[in-house]
Amino acid sequence: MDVRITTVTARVLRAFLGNPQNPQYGFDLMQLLGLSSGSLYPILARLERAGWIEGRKEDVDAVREGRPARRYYLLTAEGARDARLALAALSEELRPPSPIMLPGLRSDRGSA
Amino acid sequence: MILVKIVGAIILLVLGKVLVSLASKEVEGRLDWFCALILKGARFRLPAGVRSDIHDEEWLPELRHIMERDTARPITRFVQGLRYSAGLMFSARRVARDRGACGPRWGSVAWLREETVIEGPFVWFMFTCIWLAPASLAVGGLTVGVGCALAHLQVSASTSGVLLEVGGNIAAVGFLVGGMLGGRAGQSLGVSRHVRQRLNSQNLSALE
Repeated sequence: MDVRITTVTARVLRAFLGNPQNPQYGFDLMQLLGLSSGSLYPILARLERAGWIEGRKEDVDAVREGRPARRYYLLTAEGARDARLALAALSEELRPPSPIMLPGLRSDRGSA
Repeated sequence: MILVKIVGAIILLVLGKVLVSLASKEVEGRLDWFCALILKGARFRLPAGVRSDIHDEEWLPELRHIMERDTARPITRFVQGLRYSAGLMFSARRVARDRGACGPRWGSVAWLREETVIEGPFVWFMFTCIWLAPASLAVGGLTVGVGCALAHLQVSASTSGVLLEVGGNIAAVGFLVGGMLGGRAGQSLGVSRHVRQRLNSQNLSALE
């Protein structure tokens, strides 16, 4: 399934790729990326539906810990591969053109 | 005498400190409750089938983590909890849709069937009530607006009254006819199908 890669989605993927083995929690990602829950959770839902990340429940005893188990997300192997490709494609798309390709800039340099 | 005053002051000080501590704990508890209440609103916006999975299993434990962690002060925790809940309140339906769980639109007949225990023609009655209330308010506002405009145009009170009365009656008849047509449409479309399905299932179970 294709995932629409926006710059915010790319930032989320970048956070997952930064530590592929580490579990990522919703609130921690919000803090890390400075995103609101309203922006982050739809992205997590899309990525999970596409199979790029996998949601799991913490393995804790709720009674002993005194809190319910939180849900965390892990990057899947397929997700890691596709995310790298998608980020590379986005990076290529957003790469500024080289100065040689800008004739105005070139002539300015020549006159200066 | 001075000793009594000193002892009294100490007792007052201790009592005051206890009261302030109790009040702050009470307020803190209420703040947690307020964030949870907003999150409950977000839960209500999710389709019924995924509420437990999304709200109970993910959002609520996360909110508890935000509100109970030791690394932040109470006001910071409250602001973060509020941001968390409010954000989800607005995006709950988007999250459900992105997870592939699309529920019926709020206020629609399908939503009423899913959310309430009412069945049959009462669904359409509730549907009409839900949408008639804002429509009535809009018509009321329009009437006041027209009244003000007529007054501004210096139309006499008696003429304005007649105009508004005629307009109001036309609107009332329109609502009545619209409601009747809506009810008929509901009976021929949704409700009868619903009843038919129920009867079919009953007949099938009787045959078995």
